[in-house]
This record gives sequence, structure tokens and C-alpha cells, in this order.
Amino acid sequence: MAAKTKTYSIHCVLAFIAILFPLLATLTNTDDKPNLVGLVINNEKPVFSWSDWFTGSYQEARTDYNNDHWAFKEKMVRLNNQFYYKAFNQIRVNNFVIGKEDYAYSEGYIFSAFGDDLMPEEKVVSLLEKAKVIQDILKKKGIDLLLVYAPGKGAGCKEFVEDKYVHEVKNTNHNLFVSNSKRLNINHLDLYAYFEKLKPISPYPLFPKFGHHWSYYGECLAVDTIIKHIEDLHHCDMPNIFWNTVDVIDTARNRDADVLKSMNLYSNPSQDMKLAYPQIAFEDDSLKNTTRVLTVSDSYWYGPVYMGINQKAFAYGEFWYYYNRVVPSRVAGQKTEVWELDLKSEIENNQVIMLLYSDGNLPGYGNTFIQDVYEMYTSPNSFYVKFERNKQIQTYAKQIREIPGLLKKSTLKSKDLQIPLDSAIKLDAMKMAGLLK
Amino acid sequence: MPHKFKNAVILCASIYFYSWGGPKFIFVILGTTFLDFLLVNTMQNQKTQKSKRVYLIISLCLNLGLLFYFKYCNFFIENINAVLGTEISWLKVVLPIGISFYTFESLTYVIDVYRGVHKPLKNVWHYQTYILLFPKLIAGPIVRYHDIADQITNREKNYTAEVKLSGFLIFCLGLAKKTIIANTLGMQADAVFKLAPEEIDTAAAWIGAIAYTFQIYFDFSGYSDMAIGLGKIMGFKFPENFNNPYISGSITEFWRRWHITLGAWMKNYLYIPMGGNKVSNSKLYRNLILVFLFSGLWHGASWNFVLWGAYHGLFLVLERLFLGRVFEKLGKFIAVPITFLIVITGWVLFRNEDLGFAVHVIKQMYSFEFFHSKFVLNNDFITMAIVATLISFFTITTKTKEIQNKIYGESFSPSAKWAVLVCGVILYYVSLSYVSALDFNPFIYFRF
Repeated sequence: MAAKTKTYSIHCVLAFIAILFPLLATLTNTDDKPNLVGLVINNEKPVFSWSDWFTGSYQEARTDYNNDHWAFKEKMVRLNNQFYYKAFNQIRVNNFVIGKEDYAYSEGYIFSAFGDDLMPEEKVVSLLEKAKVIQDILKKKGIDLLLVYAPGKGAGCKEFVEDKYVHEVKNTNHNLFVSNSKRLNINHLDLYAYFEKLKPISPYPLFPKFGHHWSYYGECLAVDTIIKHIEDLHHCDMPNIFWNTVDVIDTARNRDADVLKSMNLYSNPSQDMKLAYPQIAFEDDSLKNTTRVLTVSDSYWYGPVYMGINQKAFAYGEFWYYYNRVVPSRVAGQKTEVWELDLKSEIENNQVIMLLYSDGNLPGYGNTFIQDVYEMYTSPNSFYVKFERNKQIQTYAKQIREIPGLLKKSTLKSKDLQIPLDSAIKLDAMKMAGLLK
Repeated sequence: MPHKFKNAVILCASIYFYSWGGPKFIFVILGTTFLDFLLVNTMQNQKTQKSKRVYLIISLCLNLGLLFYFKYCNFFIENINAVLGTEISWLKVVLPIGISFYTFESLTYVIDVYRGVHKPLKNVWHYQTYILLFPKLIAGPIVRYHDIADQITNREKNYTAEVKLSGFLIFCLGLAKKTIIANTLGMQADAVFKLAPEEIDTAAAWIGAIAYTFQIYFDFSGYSDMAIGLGKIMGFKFPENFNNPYISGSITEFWRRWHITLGAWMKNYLYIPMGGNKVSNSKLYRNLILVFLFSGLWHGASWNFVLWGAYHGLFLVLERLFLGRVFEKLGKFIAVPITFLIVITGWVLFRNEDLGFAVHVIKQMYSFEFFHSKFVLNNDFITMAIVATLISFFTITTKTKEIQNKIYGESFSPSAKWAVLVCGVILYYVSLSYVSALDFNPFIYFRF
């Protein structure tokens, strides 16, 4: 009689345990929220219903929930990120790359520095011509418009960009904006050129290794320069920023290591860079803090806002982040968005309107602020019709941004379709408004 | 678990698996399998060949009709509108997952029974287990009824520890192929093929084409390995679907190594009924082209797939005419790279639905026009491309082929069993880390 074949062995049993271990750990794990920076997470466990099952929405939500809440999510992500960072010198942060000596960059800012995102000049001219019209209209109302061109990290730390990105620069959006601003007599401040001049003589770094923006020290210099420029432009006296002492340390503070935090590694690399942190203060003179400045900007302006510039030097003028979110919010605990406001009265309630965008965001300079304000003053009827129609979409878009489950869906869509998150949100909002099938 | 419950558990798991992704379509697949089962059983009970044929035709119409409706209807409407200038509105049809695979399997059942190759199953649940068997349901291999019929009712001889361990290793290898290699290469292919045509120079075109060439192989063969591995764990032995296709010395050989189960299906159920090799040369060439056109269309309802099929069909005809002899004279070490070039070029057609764009990329591949493109190479891609190349051409020698056979075999020495376990577990957890990290790409600042 033939010997009975073994149907199981110790190897098989161990293999099955290994396969099922993550599942068992997930089922027995109570605190299953991964501690990862930048993770959009939906904490609500989907509730089963047959109708959701048959539309497939339950499965979609449950898959998403399981992906975010399985026991080893955080460990696995950190492990893989660490491996990628060590083995390939790559980081898993949306559109960010590592350059030489560990300098982290947004890839878009590298493209900008080398002119790879060059806009057609006629587009720049058309935008700036509208800005000039706005400047002239506002001037008659005693309001000054100021366009500020900030340096991005790609341009600020070109020498650390990986060789594969480096090539001869034919032209850049920054050049197009500056030369045409000069030609059209538009009030502008070229911080990009200022930082370029400053770089060889600055005692401290203007850009940190693991930060996305200018360094805190760079921010202080930028704020100082902007205040002085506005004083000249608007013929006013404003509270100035000053500092007597500077802390020089080798561990980044504030936003100077924002990329590092988002890299979600097991063990962070040494920052290996002395960064300067001036102990700043604004001149405390209420008679000087009377020029209300509205700032429309990208994330480069968040640093000065954290310093308190709006309250202490801009007479409580607001910051409109990407011409969308109002900072600080008007209602505590709730987000205010620009489309909820009366644009005309808001603008005319300020003495200076400042647009500040870094070079990586020049292709979207102002996020339609210039186009909207131009249309509002030159053809108000069509503007208000469009504005009302847009409100419907924006109402839903705001909901998406505020509800984690909806935001998660849009982030997944942006990855699937390889489109920016705000475009994915707009698509979803249009769907919710019934404007898109 | 007692053997008598195994199929029931597998069927329940398969129904759950399918309805997770296509909750409405589970009724379509359950309904058609039930009808097919009835039709085939009735066909089997017919006394005359003529009446059997009636049931065969009804079953073929049912299966092919559903495939046509779900997969090709809009494609045909679109083309009728384009040619005739009509405005027939499109149907709101969602494609049931895996329909191309399970329809072909259903056809093998009815045809094999009709031909008397195998008796029909006695139990409808067994038939549904065959069709719905979840490891191979959505991406193959296309398991011919004849090849699995006996295993559905009796596969006890496959319940050995060695087979299970081998299944575990093959599953983990497949998972690693898909998550570590194919996904990494796929990202680079996507980065190239989303560029505007004017941004693609020769280097970018080749990188995109090579990235996709390896992506599709490791993706598809990875899925097949996972299916085969899971099948083994459950006691099923599915046929191999890939046999190192990139070491082929001709396109004819390539099709004996690539998607083997589809090739076998086409041969058994289309090419041979059309006359096979036993026809005049002109008919033979026509048949080859037709089979490959059909094969292209099977992959997707779009002209790029049809053209890709025609492209391969054309090379098959050329090989019959003279190219095959040329390849033989040139020898393996020249024929393999040439064949590989032909295959890579074909994949550009397969990857891009926009034919104009595909043709532009192919043109750029051979134009030797180099300029600075916005596209950059990532280190992970370079590493994985090297790994993919080494694996793809690993079996070009007999010695290395033997090593591969051992890895995919079912007989392990005691120490090899531990090695299999350790390697499998490592691959499994590394793959999990890749899956976890790939869908995690945090935004530093939301741009709103």
C-alpha cells in the first residue's frame, strides 16, 4: 500500500499564518489609525446597506477604509518610504524629489527654474494687461495694486538640483512676468532677483534642505522688504519688522522641515545645516498699523501670516490663500472662502492689494483673481452672472474639502486621473451640482 | 475541511469576490452559467447531431451575444456613426469584469461537450464553480473545460503539502511581479505616454515603450502566477499562461509563449475550425490574419487593439513566407533581439488608444531625434528595468531554464522548503509595503 501523502507540513502552516497575519492583526487591533503626515483619511466605517452594495459604493468605501485602517499600514508605508529614500534617493511626497546633498524640491519648481513650464508670452501679456487696467481703476479709488514675484526653491537652490533636470535655460516665466510688468508699468516687486543678489552674501541659508519654501530667515527678509516697498508705493508709514538676536541651530523649526515630516520615514536623516531664526518683533505703533493690505498668495505667504504680519503690520488685512480660503476665517471654527464674499466691497475695503506667487505657481498667477476683478470692473453684468453660477459649484466644493470621506474620494480621483486635487474637487462638485454626468 | 464542502466554499467565495467588484453583474454571470448548463445538458441528451447543433448555436449566440452587447456594441455604433454619418445614440453599458475570460471558458464547455471531448458536468454548482473560480475569473488563465473537468469533482491527488507550498511561492512571486516590478515600470510608462507628442524625443519614446513592454509582461504574468498559485493552494492545476515570451526567436514562437491559454483557445476553437494548416497557402494567410484581428479585438473594443492584432498577424504571415527562415539562419542571438524589437513596437500600438499618438511615438522611436524633454528617469525605474530585463531573459540558456523550472516546480528538498517559505514571506511583505506606499502619496499643502 502506498504511503499516505502529507497534505500539510509545518512550512505550509507557517506560510498560511504569514499570509493571514495582517488580517488577524487588523481584526484584533483597536487603535488602527495610521500616524502619517499628509494622509487624507476617512475614519467613518462605511455602514452596509443593500442599495449601497448594488451600486458598488459600499465596496468602494469599504476598500478605501480597509486600505487606510489595516494594522500595518503605517509601518509598511514607513518601511517602503525608508527603502525608497535609501536605495533610490526618492521620496514619496506628492510631486517632490530629492536633489543633491538631500535638498528636497517640488518638481514643478525645478521645471520653473529651468524654464520647462514656459508659458506663451501672449498669455502673460494678456494677464498683465488686465492687471494694469485693474491697477489704474483701483488707483483712482486710492488703492494700490502690487504684484510680487517670489523665488521658488528650484531657482533658489539650483546648484543642488539633480543633473537629470539641468539644461540650458532659454527663458523662464519669471523673466516674462518681470519684463512685461516693467514694460506695462505695473507696480511689482521682484523678490526673486533680490534673493538671487542676496544669496552669495547672506550669512544664513535662504532655503532649508527639507523645507518647501524660503527659510524662516528668508521669510523675515522678504517681509521686511515687502513692508518697505509698500511704504514707498502707498506713501505711508507702516510698522516695521526688527530683530536683535538670531538663534542659529541645526534642527529646523517652523515650516523649515515640512517636506521631511511628509516623507514619513522610519528614521529621519540628519538635517546637517545651520538655520537662522531671528527673534522678530513688529513695531508696536497703532498709528502706523493703518494700511490695510489684502494678500492673495500661494503657500509662500503662510509663513509671514504665522509671524502675525496681518495683525501687526497690515491693519488686519486678510490673506486669501490661492484666492480661495480666507485667512483668518471670519467665523471661528468654520472655513470662509472667497466666493462667499462680495468681491468688490472686499477689495475696496483695503488700501493695498498684493498678489504674491512663487515662480512655480506663475502659470496660475492669482488663481483667476486678476481675470475676475478685471471682468467685475469692466463688464459687471457678465461677471455677476458667472459668479452666481460658480457659487453652486463652490458650495459643493467646500463640502468636499470639509468632509473627509468626500475629500478622500477626490484625492483618489486626482491620483487616478493624474490631475491636480483642486481640479478633481471641481469635477466632483460639478457632478454633485448635476452639471456633469 | 471535508472534500464535499470544498467546492461549495470556493463557489461562495467566488460569488462574494465577483459581486464585490460587479454586484449587479453577478446575476448576469449566474444566470448565463445556469442557462448554459441547461442548454448543454439538453444538447447532450439529443440523439441527432443536427439537433445537438441547434443547442450549440443557441448557447454560442447567448454567450457571444452578451459579450458583443457589453463589450463591442458601443464600438460598433461609434464606427457606424463615423462611416455612415448616422447619429445612433450610445448605450449606457458598463463592462462586466472578466467577461472576455469567462465567456471564452463557457464556450470551451459547450464546444468540448458538443465535440465529445468531455462529458458535461452533472451538477450546476460544479459548473458555476468552474466558471466563477475566483483566482482566474477576471484575468485568466483561460482554463479550457477539458483541462479542468476532472479536477472539479476530484482533485484529491493535488492536496499535497508540496503543491500547497509551491502554490504559496508562485502566488508570492506573482504578487511581487505585479506590485514591485510592473507598478514601478507602469508609472514611468504613464509619465512618457501622458506627454504631449511634441515633447517626446527618441529617448523618451524608447523608455516609454520599454517600460510598457516590461510592465505588461510582469503585470499580466504576475496575475497569472497569483491565479496559478492560489489554484494550487486549493488543489487546482491551471495551465501555464506565460513561458518567458521575450526570449522568443520569432513572432510565431512569441505566440507560443505569450498568453498561452488565449493562443490555445484561438487555435482550438477558431483557427482549426477555419481549416488550420490544411488549406491552401492563401487561405492559411487569410486565416492567420483573421485570427489575429479577432485576438486583437478580444483585448479591447478599440482600433488600436485591432491594429495590434493585424500587426502580429502580418509578421506571422511574413514568417511563413520567408522571415521564419531568415530568423533561423540568423540564429537565436540575433533573432531574439529582432523579435523583441518587433514586440516592443507592437506594444506602443497596444498601449495607446489614440492611433495618431501611437504612430507618432513609433516614428519617434526610429527617428533618432534627441532633444530636451520634460520627462525624467527615476532611479527606481532604472533598477526595476534592469531587474525586469534580467528576469525576462534569464531562461535564454538551458542551465538557467532548469533553475526556473526548479523554482516553479513542486518538488523541494527539506532545506529548499525552508528557503521557499522564507523567500515567499519576504516577497509577500515587501509587496504589501509597496501596495501600502504606492497609494499613499501625501500632499504637503492642499492647493485650495
